[in-house]
Amino acid sequence: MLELLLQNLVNGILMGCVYALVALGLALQFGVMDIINFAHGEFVMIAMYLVFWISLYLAIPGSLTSLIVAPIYFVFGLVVYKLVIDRIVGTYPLAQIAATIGLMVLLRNLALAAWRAQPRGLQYEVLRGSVTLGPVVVPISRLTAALVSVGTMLALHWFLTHTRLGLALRATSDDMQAASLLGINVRRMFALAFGLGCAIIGIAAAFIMTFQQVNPESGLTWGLISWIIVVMAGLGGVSGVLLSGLILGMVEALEITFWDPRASLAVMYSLFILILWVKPRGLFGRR
Amino acid sequence: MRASDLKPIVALTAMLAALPLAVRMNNYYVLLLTWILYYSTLVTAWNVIGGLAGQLDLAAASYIGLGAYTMGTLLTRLDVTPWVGIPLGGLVAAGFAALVGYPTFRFGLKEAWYALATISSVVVLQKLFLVWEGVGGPEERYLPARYGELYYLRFRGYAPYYYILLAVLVMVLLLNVKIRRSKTGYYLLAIRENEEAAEILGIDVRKYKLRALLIYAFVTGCIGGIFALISGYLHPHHFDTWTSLQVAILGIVGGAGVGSIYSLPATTFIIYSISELLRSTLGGWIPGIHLIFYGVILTVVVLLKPEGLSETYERLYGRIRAALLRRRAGGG
Amino acid sequence: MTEAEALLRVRGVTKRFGGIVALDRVDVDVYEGEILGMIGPNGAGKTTLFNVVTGYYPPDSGKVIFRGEDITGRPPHEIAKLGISRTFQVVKPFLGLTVEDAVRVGAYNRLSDEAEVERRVREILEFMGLDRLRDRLCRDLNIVQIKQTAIARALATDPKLLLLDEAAAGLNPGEVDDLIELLRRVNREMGVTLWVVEHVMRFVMGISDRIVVLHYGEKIAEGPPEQVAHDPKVVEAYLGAEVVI
Ligand SMILES: Nc1ncnc2c1ncn2[C@@H]1O[C@H](COP(=O)(O)OP(=O)(O)OP(=O)(O)O)[C@@H](O)[C@H]1O
Ligand SMILES: [Mg+2]
Repeated sequence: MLELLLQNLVNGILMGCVYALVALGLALQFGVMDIINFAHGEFVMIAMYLVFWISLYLAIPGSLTSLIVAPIYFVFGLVVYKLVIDRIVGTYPLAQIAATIGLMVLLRNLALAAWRAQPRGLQYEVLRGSVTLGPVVVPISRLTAALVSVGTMLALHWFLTHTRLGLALRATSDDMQAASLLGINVRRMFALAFGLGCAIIGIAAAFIMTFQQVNPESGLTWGLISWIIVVMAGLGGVSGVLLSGLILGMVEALEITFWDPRASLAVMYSLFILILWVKPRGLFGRR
Repeated sequence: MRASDLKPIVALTAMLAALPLAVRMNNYYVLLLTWILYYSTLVTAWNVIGGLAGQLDLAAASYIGLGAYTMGTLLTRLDVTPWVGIPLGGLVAAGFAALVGYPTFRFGLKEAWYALATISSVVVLQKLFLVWEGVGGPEERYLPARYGELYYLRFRGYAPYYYILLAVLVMVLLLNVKIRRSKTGYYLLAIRENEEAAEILGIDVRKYKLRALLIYAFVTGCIGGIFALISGYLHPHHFDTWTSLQVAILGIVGGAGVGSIYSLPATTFIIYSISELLRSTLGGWIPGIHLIFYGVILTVVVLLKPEGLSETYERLYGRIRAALLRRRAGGG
Repeated sequence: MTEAEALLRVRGVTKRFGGIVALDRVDVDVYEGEILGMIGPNGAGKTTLFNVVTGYYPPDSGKVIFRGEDITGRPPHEIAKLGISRTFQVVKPFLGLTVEDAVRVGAYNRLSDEAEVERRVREILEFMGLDRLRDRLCRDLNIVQIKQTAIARALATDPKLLLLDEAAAGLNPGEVDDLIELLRRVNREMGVTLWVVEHVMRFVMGISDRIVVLHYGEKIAEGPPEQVAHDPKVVEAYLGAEVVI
């Protein structure tokens, strides 16, 4: 039992890092423009398909496709921003939610129409095998995914704190009006945040595919996980997102050890409601 | 309630009651009409929370599933008649709604959290009922096939259910009209328009949102019980996120809370028919074409006509009336 | 006037936002029947004080006492029931409601009988001169009418004390005079005590019985308009600002 728990906890920590990376894009968009993208999970799902097809046709390992998918997704983010998000920033909250829900329904069903419900997994992957640390077996693919996640988060943190553009993004997030008085083009910042958030999804998707399959229904699960993390993190910055991801990963590990793996979403959800109940501004929020 | 409020309900009821006869009780059409009526009742109930209170609730399928399982489990295990099981299902749904609504309706919390909490609840309940072998489980649980007995409310054709749903629709419409004209109705509208301003006018925002939610969840739970009777079995896939989304989409596109309440059944009728047409003609080549259609229409309507289609109907209705009057005047 | 007579007492209220001290141990008394003005440069903490009094923010320390009852930290809807209402600097209109319905929402604060509510709504609409706009959606009103509707719905709650946050901002001089006239009538005929925040000096000097001055979260002066206007601290606070007393 102890060994199983240990093994699950290690898995949970690794998955927690990946969860955090998936939620990071959403958290960035939410922080900067105060909009929750309901289609976030569907974006992840589509990116995973993209990874699958690119890897298949170019015959390259899935992990390498991140170099192609991230820039494609950055552009995709800009396009979605121009077509949809730009029109709804600052309007009725209900209209904002409804518009991205429309996007969610659209993407999910387009994926169903294009690829049916059949799950797809990578054919080419170099990240195979595992390392054994005492009683714990760590798959190389998950380990790499976790390391890349933490690396990407550190990179984003550095970008936000050490570059002019990053500082402008943070200023926009703190106080939109003050930022625009300082001569920052707020709409440009919004587009940038949206594009960056999507690029991060692209990176995450490539590494998730090294150990998971994708089907059109995966979107909802990824969406749910990301929403929970954003609620948990509040406006707590990159570190808040990472910590929340780790908490979620470990809660899942405990649940799998002591109950039924099929119920893990239910346990995560209870956590979500509990946090809204006791700490509605998140565990790590500044405000 | 005023007489002018009742007139359209009577007219609508008469029209809807005649429809199955108009299609000569053809099984396919009666089934289609039954589903249209089913969604109409759901959307009209949703108006209380989505239209009046302005809260984007996406948990319809949670309440439907809970209502279905409560009624069905009582019926199969304890032989409790649906006449009792259906309202009990409504109560269970309302209880669950309170659990989700109480924390998320805290004053000043972001609107999006409620939408997130509600749509997630559907996924979660589905998984829980899969795991909970005692009541749910992955196998279908069939309801007793005691057709034609009033105690069991089970029928072979769809027409009886059509008329049951029609009765429910009338009740839900009346409920909406009654709430809209009451203090609660005005308070909900104020909350929808601006929560902060509503508070200082003496409105306990959380209390009134919860009240709207409980009414809506109870009604939807009852409809869920009826749904189980129609489908004839219980299964965790009755917790279907798609149903939730569809109800909200029909509500938004129909302009819930903006114009007349009748634009909701009207929108349901039009959109459901179009989507069914798409499914039966193009669905073979493009599976899910009818669902894509919902996504497109929602996004387009929200971006171009955020207030929904109700105004469009009203203008159309006005124009038709004007044309009729002109003709009558010309003729006379 | 003695302390016991004060309708509202604000005692030692402090409110911080992160590093900013928006209110620093502020004391204010509002006496029954008066019109109290409050001025101060941008960011002085005027709106924050209103938000604390009406229950939108809990203070970090200090007390708010209304008619002898401690109301610190009570939610806005309870405060409305006790008899305080307000308007907002950033107007928060019910865009999708008609003027009449917006006022009706306020009227339900104290009344539940539909006939009485109806009567109250009609009364307030007439008093405010809004009766010809009663069926208009707030969305279709101009800014002056929106502000009038905001005052009307607040009055409909039947308050003892009404807080007005920059009600005259954006009005032309003629409209300001009308507003002064209207508020005087609210004060005299309806017996509502007023506490008004205003940058428009013409307005605040013209209407106030007394004036309180806030500066960087501190109360720096208090007294009759003429006296406050010549207070060296006040002159200094406004020095360099565009508003000249
Ligand atoms: N919700 C808030 N979060 C953070 N800071 C706030 C908040 N509300 C007010 N402040 C800060 O508190 C200080 C006082 O603001 P307040 O709005 O009370 O000033 P004011 O006197 O009403 O100014 P104005 O004349 O511009 O309306 C300002 O520095 C403001 O930035
Ligand atoms: Mg202010």
